[in-house]
Amino acid sequence: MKQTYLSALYTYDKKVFSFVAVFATLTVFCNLMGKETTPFFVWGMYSEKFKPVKTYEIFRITINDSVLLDSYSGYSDNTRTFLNAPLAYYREMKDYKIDPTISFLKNKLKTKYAWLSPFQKKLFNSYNQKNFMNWYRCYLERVTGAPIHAIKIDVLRTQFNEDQHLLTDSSYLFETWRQD
Amino acid sequence: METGLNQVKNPFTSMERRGMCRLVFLFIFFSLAYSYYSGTLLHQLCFPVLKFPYVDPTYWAIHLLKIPEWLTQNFWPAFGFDAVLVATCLLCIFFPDRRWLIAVFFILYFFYFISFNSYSTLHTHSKIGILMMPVPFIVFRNKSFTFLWEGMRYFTLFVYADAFLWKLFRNTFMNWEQGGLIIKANLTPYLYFHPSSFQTSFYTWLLQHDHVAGWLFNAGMLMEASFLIGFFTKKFDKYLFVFSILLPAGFICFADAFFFELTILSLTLINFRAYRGNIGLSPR
Repeated sequence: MKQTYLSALYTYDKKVFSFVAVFATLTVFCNLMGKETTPFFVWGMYSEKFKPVKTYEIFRITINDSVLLDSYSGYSDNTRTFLNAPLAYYREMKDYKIDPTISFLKNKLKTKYAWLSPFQKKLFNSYNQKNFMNWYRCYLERVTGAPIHAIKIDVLRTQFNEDQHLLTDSSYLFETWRQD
Repeated sequence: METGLNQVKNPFTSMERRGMCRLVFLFIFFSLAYSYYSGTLLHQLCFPVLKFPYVDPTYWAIHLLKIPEWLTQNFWPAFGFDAVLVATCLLCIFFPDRRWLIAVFFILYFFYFISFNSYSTLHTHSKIGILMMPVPFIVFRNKSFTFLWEGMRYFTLFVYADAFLWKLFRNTFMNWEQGGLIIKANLTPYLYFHPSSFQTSFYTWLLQHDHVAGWLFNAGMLMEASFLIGFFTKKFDKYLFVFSILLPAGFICFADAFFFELTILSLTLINFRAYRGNIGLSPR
């Protein structure tokens, strides 16, 4: 009879077997629950059904009143992540004046959220326009390598026409920052 | 799972282990160099103000201990941390037998991983391969290393097989619009900023023929499904190796997600024993 990986490992060293077995079991458990707990990862990559939406929103960032930031030219994926994801998160915070994770947990846990309240300050963010824009200016300066005295961020609402060409539907001024 | 006896009878030699360790840490060094180039080592983050532990208890614990805050809110601790992280990576290349160095690197990278994901406000999976790959090299005996390396191979298989199973159970493969919608959700800014590039023409063509995008998505899903075979035989590992490179290439083309760091896991699909006597990996 063929010996399996796990049975061979069990025979060889019970400590290493326990390590592997606990890791595998917890990983499977987290996947069954759909709850990722590092280092027991859930690999749902693009499995969520995408639904057609009418408009797609884009940030248009203007630096020093003249330069348009194109994060797809000369910036790595990691840099683009730091330029876009915190900005998108900040936008949600600005819209609702609360950290989106707090809203999510309050909805999920209802009254049990009170247990988390003592840790709220340490785990989540509070909306602070000045802090965020100061950080964003600093990071932009670092990655663009140019001194920045003004930032303007517009949100563009775009949509695809019948020929699947992208059209800008409307835009609004989302945020500005100017050196004092 | 027919490979159990192989680890007992034919473990990797110390020479082989050293060569594999150097290869892994060379890859990791390139990943860290990429982070430096990207301006995403901790001392380059400009003291970030938004954190995102989300609902992951491990992130919560690390943030309650204020470790990411301490590492990112002061320049010199952040710079020192990054310097030690890169230095231990380099030392692991030069001294692959010093297991304590590998353990130190693993712990430091764990904190880098948490800080990167938390302050980017995106729990990306691309760096997981870098986080996990040093683990087998920490153990003492070559036989234990061989078993854990084999375990990493199963982890690699699981990553892609799991992605398939999620799509299967969520019926994503029935959604023929999925491919086109992924492109729209992730690449709209690119289409806006580069309206007349070749890539934009290609994406527009794909969106006009969304059944092609749907087929491509399902082809990727089938590739992911093929990793299930790896749990029963190693015969097809060379094909799985190719798929494990093609899939991240697909992520970058169609979802603007650069998963090159995940391809470190592809190393576990290489039969290093076949190279005994070559590339400095001499037999016992």
